Amino acid sequence: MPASEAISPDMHHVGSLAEFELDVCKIVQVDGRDVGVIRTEQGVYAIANRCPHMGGGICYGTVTGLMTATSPENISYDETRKAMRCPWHGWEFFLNDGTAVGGITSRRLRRFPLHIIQDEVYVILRMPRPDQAETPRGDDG
Amino acid sequence: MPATIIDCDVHPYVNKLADVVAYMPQAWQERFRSQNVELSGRSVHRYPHPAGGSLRKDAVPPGGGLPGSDPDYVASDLLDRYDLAAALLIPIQASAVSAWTDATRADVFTEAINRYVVEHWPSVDSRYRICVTASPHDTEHAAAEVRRWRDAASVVAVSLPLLDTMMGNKHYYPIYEAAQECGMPIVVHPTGAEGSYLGAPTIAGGIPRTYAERHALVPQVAQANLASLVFEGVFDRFPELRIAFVEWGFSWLGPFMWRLDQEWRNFRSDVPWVKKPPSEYIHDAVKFTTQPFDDLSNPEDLWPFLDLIDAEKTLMFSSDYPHYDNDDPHIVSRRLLPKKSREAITSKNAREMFSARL
Repeated sequence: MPASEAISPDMHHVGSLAEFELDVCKIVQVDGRDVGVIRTEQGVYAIANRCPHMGGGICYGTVTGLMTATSPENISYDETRKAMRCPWHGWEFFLNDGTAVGGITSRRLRRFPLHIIQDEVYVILRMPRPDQAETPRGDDG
Repeated sequence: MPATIIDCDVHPYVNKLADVVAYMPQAWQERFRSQNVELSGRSVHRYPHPAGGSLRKDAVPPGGGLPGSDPDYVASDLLDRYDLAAALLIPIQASAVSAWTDATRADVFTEAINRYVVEHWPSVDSRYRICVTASPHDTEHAAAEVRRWRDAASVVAVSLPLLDTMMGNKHYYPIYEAAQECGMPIVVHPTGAEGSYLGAPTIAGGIPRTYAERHALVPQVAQANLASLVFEGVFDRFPELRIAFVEWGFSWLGPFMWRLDQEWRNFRSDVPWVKKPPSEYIHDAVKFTTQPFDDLSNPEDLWPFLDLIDAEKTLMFSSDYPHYDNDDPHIVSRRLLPKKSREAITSKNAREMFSARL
């Protein structure tokens, strides 16, 4: 992935829309940091590559729909409600608001504003650079 | 001072098979007499008790017979001696059917013991309250037996001997439905068959060698069935169902619920019908009993474990009279429990569990 092109100090071009495969989290480098960009039928999202649970690289996980059930015999799958499942412990967070699926935690997945201008994707990143960051916290949300 | 302690595990015994057989249909009377059935769930030859038996030798009634077989003597030896407000009778001999293979024979036997105990015990002392036994084999038939006792004032709960089919399995749902409908909690108690027979609950890991080793491992059965109840979604399917785990211990429960909650968080998508942390289901619908109370040199070492399980809501006193490892009601109440928890554990929680029927 080539280095992103900053349109403004906070706005970073991360690629053309067609470069993002549907329902796959693509990791791009933005200002020295990993950012996951996910294109779905419902929208395009940018997330931090850090699970709010244990700090796992959540962008290496799976984009999934929502599995629900009223009983073991009646499961259903809503592919319009997309979530990111962490490869470490399987915790899932909705892409549209960062909340945990099933209410398993009050922590949220960190998301970044994203703009699409003429099919070009831009991520807004106002985080300090890693060499300027404070000690990471266990809770990103 | 009024009696307050409620004992949630007392075993009424039948002295001889003939006493029970009298409550069976004629053809079954003949069959049971000729079979000379042994009234024990535990295979006494597979795991012989080192003292030759599990009944207290000092609890033999003055007129003879098995400890726990004389309702008058149990009233004086246990209820009066310790000033108990009520005693929950769990006929452990009926649980022998968990090791049987003939479902109809098991139905006939459990129904006969139910009738025997209801007829012989509450009339002697109104503090006796009874768990009728539901055979785990033909659960539709057992559900009808549960409903048969719905209006009996002395019957407060349903004893369910377990198979190697775990409690979350729909095999048991007819019994749960009947128990919920009748407002009677399910009582689960070790049967003695665990790890001894094909079809009975297994002991995890392998085959223990001695009575001591097997006895130490029996709580595994409760843990497995708790996990099964939660992860199979039983508490959402039967929201009014209440379950008492009697004589499985309790000090393991706090860390075990941590583990259940952790697995639920990690594997939510595997069990999406489980809507809240397992510990919340358990807290709301399940209670446990005190005996065998962990015998520590410093009882206060156990108190943090009581807090872990919110024992003032989830734990009920039990003696296990007349078994060898029974606990003394006064020692547990006055010496082993923290003062702040005594009333809840020895009385309030049992009243809540068994409600107006107690």
